[in-house]
Amino acid sequence: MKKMILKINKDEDFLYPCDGYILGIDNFCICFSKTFLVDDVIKIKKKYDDKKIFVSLNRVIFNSELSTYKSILKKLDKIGLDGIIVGDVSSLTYDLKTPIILDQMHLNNSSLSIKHYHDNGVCGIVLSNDITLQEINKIKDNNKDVIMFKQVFGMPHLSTSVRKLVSNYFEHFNKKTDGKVFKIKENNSTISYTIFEDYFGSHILSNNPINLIDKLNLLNVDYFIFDGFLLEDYKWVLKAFINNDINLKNKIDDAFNSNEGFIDRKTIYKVKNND
Amino acid sequence: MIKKPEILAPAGSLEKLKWAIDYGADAVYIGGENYSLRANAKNFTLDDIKQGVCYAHKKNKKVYVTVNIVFHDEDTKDLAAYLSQLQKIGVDAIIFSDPLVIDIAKKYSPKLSLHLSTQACVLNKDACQYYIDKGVERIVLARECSKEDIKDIIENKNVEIECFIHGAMCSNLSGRCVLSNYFTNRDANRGGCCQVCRFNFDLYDKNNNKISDESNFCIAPKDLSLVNYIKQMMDIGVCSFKLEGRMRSIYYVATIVNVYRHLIDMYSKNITDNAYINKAIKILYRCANRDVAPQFFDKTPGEKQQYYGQRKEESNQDFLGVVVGYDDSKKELLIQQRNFFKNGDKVMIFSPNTDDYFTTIKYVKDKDNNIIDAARHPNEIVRIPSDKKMPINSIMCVNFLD
Repeated sequence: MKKMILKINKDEDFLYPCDGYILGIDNFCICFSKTFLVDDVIKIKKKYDDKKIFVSLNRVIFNSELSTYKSILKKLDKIGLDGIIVGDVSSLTYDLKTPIILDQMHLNNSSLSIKHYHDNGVCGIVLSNDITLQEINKIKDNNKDVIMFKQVFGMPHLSTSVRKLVSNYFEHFNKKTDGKVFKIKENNSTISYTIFEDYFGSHILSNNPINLIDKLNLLNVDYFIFDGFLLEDYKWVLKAFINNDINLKNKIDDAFNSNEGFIDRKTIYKVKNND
Repeated sequence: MIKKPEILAPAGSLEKLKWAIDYGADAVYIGGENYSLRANAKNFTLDDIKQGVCYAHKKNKKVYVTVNIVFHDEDTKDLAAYLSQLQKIGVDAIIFSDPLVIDIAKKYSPKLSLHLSTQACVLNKDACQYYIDKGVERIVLARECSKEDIKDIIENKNVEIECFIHGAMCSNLSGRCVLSNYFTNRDANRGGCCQVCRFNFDLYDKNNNKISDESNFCIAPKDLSLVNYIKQMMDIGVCSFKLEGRMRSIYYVATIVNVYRHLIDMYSKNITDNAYINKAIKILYRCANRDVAPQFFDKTPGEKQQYYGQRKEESNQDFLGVVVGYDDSKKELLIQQRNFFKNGDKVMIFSPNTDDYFTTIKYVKDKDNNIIDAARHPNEIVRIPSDKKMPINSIMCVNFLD
């Protein structure tokens, strides 16, 4: 039975219907509007004991952060969580008992790569948004014991930089802003992308959320991830996803300017013949 | 004597491989026709790789082959056979990022040394340990590592550490960027990156009010150069100094290899020649025609390490020609032309094992000894007077040092 889990971006999200939550851990996750301390996670785990609870530390870790990172992982390991989502392979050397879910954003796009990590202690994978439905299902066919997670709604991540790309711009031109979230657009293009900064650096997201509501029956994964990060008024969309109400696909697309990303579209990489 | 690190140079073609090695590289990295992150370069066929390895090994140098894409299932079919071929050819290592390469290499080509690419974005010693446990012999650290990070990793982990010291930088964490996929459908992690981080943009607030002027928002970083930190890098034990630029010209490759060769040789003898260091900085800056910064080595880059829409990347026409011979009787160098030069131009001629030679061109002759006003045609052979016999394959360039 596929389950729908919600990334918690605001307190109100706990009131929304779903099978479980992903909680971003303070200072060790990116692309969460709300983050949690270990003590918060303990309380939430007790309060919502009918829900699957996952935590996310979905970024790479600097050498200087290792001791804090390891200490937090060890504390989280004692809570009885359904999984710890990590972005850095250092965590695979810590002998954690909680199921480890690897989320390297744009890596692990093949059956053999995922098999490698499964053979080395990883229980689950957050699949990238850069592969097709056909590829996803083949990966699951080849890795039946690996728990697969796939984002089905939300703004896809495009890039992360340690640099403060927007602040640097404002400093350079001596401009001022109170804003936290911005958009970039190529000259004469109608397509914009979201750029924002946080404690870690700068991140670019697609301005067009992914909407895979009509692919829910086709996706052979274990968990669907619903992500309202930087979006508003999405409760009705979550309900539509839970009810598998594909009749609302167009309404959702109209409301959020969403699309299906790469689910039916392969990327290319050789653009010219060098012979 | 301080232990000399390896200079690892890019080689986008067999010709560039030879130039890099002849100008002082200890090793080169190359891409095959598949599985390399420069999918649209003229990459090496297996026969080219064989020739390159043969050339390098004769000179006691090494060749590493990049197999550093993030694989999709459709890419894995012929990988085992390819790695077996590389092992048979005798390449010294493969540079990979996707962990599936470890498993396939162990099974089908166990003699291949494994170097982990910077694409894996390893920033810490425990991540290093993960790969050490899998048999990886060398790790190319993420370019976001600071000096302290690098030092701590080297002190605590028994693995070779390679670091980039010069060249273009990604704005984003390696492997964690798919801007190219979304902007152009070209897969960044399979070699199709169209370098969106070099584009100019307009910046808007969340209410769509334009903030930037004349599309001057850009996320491009200035190039990396650790020319001022070479001694420190040697002291902390970085084993391989990597130069970026498989798509660059032979002039670029020969020049930067030559400069870093001199610097490393100098420091390894515990000498600090400030005049040469200043000259090296000028040459390196001029060669790429781009601004440089130490980036993350000494601090987190800020406002001054980024471009803002006015990035200049002018075509460099300093490379005037290659020495292809010397006429002892006439005391003339035979030069194969690469860019326009003429009577009266001040030039510098350099080669790996001689002092740089500075001269002013007093005349230019065509190959039939007729005086001409200038060398105008690419690859034409011309003669210029020279009391000094410079070795074949010396490079003649504009003397911008005066």
